[in-house]
Amino acid sequence: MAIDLAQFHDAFFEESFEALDSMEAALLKLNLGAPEPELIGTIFRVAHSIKGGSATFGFSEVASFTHTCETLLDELRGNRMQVTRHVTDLLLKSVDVMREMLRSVQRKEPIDAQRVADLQFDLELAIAQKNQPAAAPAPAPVVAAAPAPAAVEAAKPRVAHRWRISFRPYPQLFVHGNDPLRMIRELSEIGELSVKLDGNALPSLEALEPESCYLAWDLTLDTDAAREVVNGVFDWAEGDCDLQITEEEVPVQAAAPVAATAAPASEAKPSNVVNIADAKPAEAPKEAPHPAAAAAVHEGPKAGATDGGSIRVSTEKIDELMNTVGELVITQSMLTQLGSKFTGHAAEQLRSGLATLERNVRELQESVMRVRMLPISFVFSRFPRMVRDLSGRLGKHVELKMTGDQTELDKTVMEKIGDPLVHLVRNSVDHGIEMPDVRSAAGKPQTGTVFLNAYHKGGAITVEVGDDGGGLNKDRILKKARERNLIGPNETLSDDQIYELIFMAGFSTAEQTTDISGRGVGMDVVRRNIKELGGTIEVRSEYGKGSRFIITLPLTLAIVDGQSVAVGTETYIVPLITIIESLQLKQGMVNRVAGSGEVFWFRDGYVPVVRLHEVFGVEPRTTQLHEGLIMVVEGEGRKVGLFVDDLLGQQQVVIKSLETNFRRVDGVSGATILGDGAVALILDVPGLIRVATQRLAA
Amino acid sequence: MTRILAVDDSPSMRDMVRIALSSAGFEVTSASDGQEALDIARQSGFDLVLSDVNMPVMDGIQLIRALRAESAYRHIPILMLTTEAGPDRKKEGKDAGATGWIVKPFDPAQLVATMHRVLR
Repeated sequence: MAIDLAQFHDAFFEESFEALDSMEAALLKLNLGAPEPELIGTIFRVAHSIKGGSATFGFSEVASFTHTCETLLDELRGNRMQVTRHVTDLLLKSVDVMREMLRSVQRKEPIDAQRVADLQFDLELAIAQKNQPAAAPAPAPVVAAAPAPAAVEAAKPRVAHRWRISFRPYPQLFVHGNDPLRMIRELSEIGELSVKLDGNALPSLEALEPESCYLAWDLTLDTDAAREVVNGVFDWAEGDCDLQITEEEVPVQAAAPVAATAAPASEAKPSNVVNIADAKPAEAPKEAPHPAAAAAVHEGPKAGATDGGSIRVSTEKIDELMNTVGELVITQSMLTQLGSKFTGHAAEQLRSGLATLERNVRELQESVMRVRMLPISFVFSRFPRMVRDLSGRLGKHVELKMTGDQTELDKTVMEKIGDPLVHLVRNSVDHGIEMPDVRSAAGKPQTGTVFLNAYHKGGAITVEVGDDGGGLNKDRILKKARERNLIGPNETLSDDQIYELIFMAGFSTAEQTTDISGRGVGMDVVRRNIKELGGTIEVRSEYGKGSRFIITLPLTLAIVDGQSVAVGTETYIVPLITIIESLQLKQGMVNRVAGSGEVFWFRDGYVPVVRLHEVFGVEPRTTQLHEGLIMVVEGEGRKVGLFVDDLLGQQQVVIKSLETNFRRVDGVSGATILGDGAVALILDVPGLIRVATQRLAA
Repeated sequence: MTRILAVDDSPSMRDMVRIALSSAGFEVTSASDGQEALDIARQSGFDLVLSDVNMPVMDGIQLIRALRAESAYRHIPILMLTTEAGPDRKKEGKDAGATGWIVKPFDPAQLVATMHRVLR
């Protein structure tokens, strides 16, 4: 039978990576003083499954390493070893190494054998150094084969041994599902078997217990099979029978070509009697009973994704589905527009049908969107480890508080928000939180807090990264900005404007750059990444008290809530999230300022007017500001008033990439297809502001 | 057709066992932990149960014990799939009522051969 084991590899890798994540999380939760048996059980099970799987699928290096890991975990599980910081460190490193190994195996790349061997040595050392000296770490991975009947099948009765077998089952043999007939049949397959039944113990019919075994057998087996093959036939009956296997001289003929198969010297020895029921305990001294083991295997249902009925679907399939639904939405709005033009008695029915269609399509779209949503804990989960490692290296005491980690957002957004968040958290630990003595001197608790928070707000998700560290130093930021000519020497800036400086390219305030937080390639990249997602980042800070970075992201990249506006015959979509207010200017409200073009007073400051028709070169209905409308939008902390002919309506639009279908256009983030089949550009407000500013400057 | 209930918390193992056994002509039902297996076992009948030992919610040992308490499962073969070849673990399984065990790693051929050992 040929079954290609490779077909299970992907599933194995996937489940192993997931399992390693949960092992890591459990390790980080582990209480050094009084480790929770459930957690140790979880950790043990991960190592155990990976070992079993990798051995089965032929990844012997992984199996060998994981075996050592498991041995150590078994010691912890049995309370024979203390959970110390050193041990958890080793185990965390083991998680890394197992991940690495699996990744290498997955990519069919060589494994970093040295690193593995080093850590394996450390693990073995730790096992050897536990409280009790004894019990050396099991040296080799378990490669014990199953009771190999496969080897048995081929064996032709080429007589090398004559085994005399006295098989006397205890009455309870049947209870465990074992069947003497099965064993006798198996024996007959490996050689010439003669069977003598001993029915002396059989009671009268009235006294007979149907579930008990009363029979015994004396068997003679002529075979070339070695003793352990014969023993193997009975291995499951161990403890349920008296078994004696004796070798007898083989009469004349077959004495010559012996031992060709399995039997090494020891088996060829003259007969000796082995009672397996006694032999086993002698060769393996019983370890101390471990009370924790029983408790460790009790476990509540696994949290999260594996719970309940779920299936794995590749992201491409969901993207395809999403795309089709997007097309469906467009078709539906086309039909709706068309339907409004019909008259007659059937038109009413048509329209009600279209309304139902619209509702169903919307529900379908929302359902597909939900499929793509994952809790942000997928990103957050890496931080406990990171903060722990970082603070350890820096000699700081840092506690990480995470809230809202079940807040959901689109998978593609999630994938892209990871790096910026890592950067911000690193910054908080490295630059934000002060050294313990500094904190004490400032009257703060020695242990600093880094917090991560996520929540939904409107149609967006907000993620906050903050700390109770030193906060941003305005003077130092200003000084640095002047040194780097980012601002003029006498320019005065508001607090917010000063904080904005840290997002400029080539800015780093750390006294000295470290290998942890990089060298000034930081915040500008963070902002750019977030901007590419259609999100924003801002910072609040109080000197001496800490900083808070607030990231706002769209829930999805696939659709956007937009306001459609008309300029001439064109329609543009402005993302709702960027709109502050729409208003009509009266004559005389607009001032012309040299260098800034037209400006008007809005709330607490002057806002420049950006004439959309000029930016895109289209013919407007009117060029008179008081005849059109001004839509105040905000991007990257700057406000502008977009001058448009008219507002049309709000709608959710499906974003089609311009880059894929055409090319990148400044000030435009994508396009969508409207109900009438026309294409509308979706405005990239921050980009548009940049374009417009450049035009004014030029 | 011989019906086998295969219990393992690892999806890849479960798949492997299922495919190996079903291509050998067995009818296989899978469960991902002891509790699920027990629920399934109570609803329908099986000729053999093959269970992993280390599993969340209810482990293999508890499952075997629970199955042996059910009259329909008193005498059928119940095999444990275990990586632990140690005598302790085997004894624990036997005491719980296991018929026998298969030691991981195994390949599909070994698995099927073992099934034929206890089934006809």
